[in-house]
Amino acid sequence: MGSIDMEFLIYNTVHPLHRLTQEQDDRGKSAHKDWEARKAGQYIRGDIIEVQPDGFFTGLKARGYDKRVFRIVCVPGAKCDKSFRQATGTAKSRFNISTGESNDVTIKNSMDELSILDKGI
Amino acid sequence: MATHNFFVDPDVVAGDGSGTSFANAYSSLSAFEAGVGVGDNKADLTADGDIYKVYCRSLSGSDDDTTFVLDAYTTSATDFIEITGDAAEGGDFPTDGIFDDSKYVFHNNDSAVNGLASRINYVRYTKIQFKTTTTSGTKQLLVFDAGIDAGNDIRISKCIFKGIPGGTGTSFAISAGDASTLLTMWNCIITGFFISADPGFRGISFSGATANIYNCTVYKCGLGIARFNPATVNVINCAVFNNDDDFFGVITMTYSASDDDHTGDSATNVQITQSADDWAALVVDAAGDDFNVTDVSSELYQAGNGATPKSVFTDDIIGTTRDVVDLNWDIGAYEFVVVGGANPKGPLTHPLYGPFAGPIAC
Repeated sequence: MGSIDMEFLIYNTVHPLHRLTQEQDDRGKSAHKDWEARKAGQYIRGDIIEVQPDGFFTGLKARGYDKRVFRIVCVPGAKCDKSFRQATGTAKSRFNISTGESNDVTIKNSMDELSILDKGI
Repeated sequence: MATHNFFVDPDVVAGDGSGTSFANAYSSLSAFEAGVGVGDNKADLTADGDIYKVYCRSLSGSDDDTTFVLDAYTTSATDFIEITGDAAEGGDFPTDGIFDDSKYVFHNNDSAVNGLASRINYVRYTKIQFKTTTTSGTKQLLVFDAGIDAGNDIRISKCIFKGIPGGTGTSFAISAGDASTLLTMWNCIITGFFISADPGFRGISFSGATANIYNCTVYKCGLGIARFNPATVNVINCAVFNNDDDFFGVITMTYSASDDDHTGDSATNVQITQSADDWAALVVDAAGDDFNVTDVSSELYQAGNGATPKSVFTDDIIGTTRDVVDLNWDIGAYEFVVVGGANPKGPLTHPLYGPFAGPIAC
């Protein structure tokens, strides 16, 4: 597959497990054996949820996305291939991303250090 | 208490992604999980006594290939999540129970160790097609590996799990390693988790958990149903055949059929001998994923026992009612229906029904 732009679906809210009241948190601790690990594994603002070819989430024939939860950014020149996703054992994934002309593979789970273009949608 | 419906369609076009209808469907189950905390998709189902039904379809046949962890929700015995392809709200699970790639398929496409890591206590998977493609490394499908608390109820019914192996690796349809897991599974089909002589390919693998498996069909896997310490696995009415090893480890099995000889484990078990012509006398078309009982001469026909599972379910993978007589239940995911009517409810030679029905000669 040639070099094409990619759309990044970015988490853009505060996860409900990160905005619990003390009472809710205490109840979770008593009810669940892996409560702290569960909370720590949830998305935080800026996490990459999915990476898809440009036009997958935005445009007339795109699938759409919940604007209350996500934001879309685009990485010009990023190469898209099927091995770009790695699971981490938590809700989060890591992504092998080849960017620009260097084609250096960088493994990311958030948008820092990437040269990005906010699609403003 | 309220039931909230959510919708997933990998082929949704121009929706708002809120998951509130198929027109505005989530594009993946992962998006449902990621959307928690917004609208009716709350993290704690017990707060208001909610049931979530997540309906899945694929309008143009695209797979849902975004792997994820289901662990953001607090559930209870009455406040649970059901992920379903049931047609009741527009899901598209195949009505004939035969795997169909043009319908919704959750697909671990050679991309992650775990396809769907299920880490909540009360969840039901009903009429969902799962598929994994494995060329190397570990690629599992439905995994219960952590985060499950004592006192849970996990149900998998009428689901199809299909393995697409290639190269090497390790691949399981279902893997349960969390010792707290209490799993009940029925009317499911697991097939194709197989590379010659590689025990890393397994249909169902338990290394923890307590599992009751009823009326499932497991075909052409490395290990069909595998149990490792300290799991407890009870199998009733299952057809497990053409695997390198149908049953691995200490498994309590009754009224189950295997082409290995497990009649020594229980005299109620059936040793399958109908392997000729690709098991044609046993099931309709095993190679074509059609595991319907061939006819009344099949070794699966009326060889089961519904006494225990009937408290959980009384039909088969496509909704056919199982026989009212416990000892007339068929083994496997399908109940055979005699042409011309409902299942025979008595002797095969009854004058009004049954395969040999007809006037009584006087």
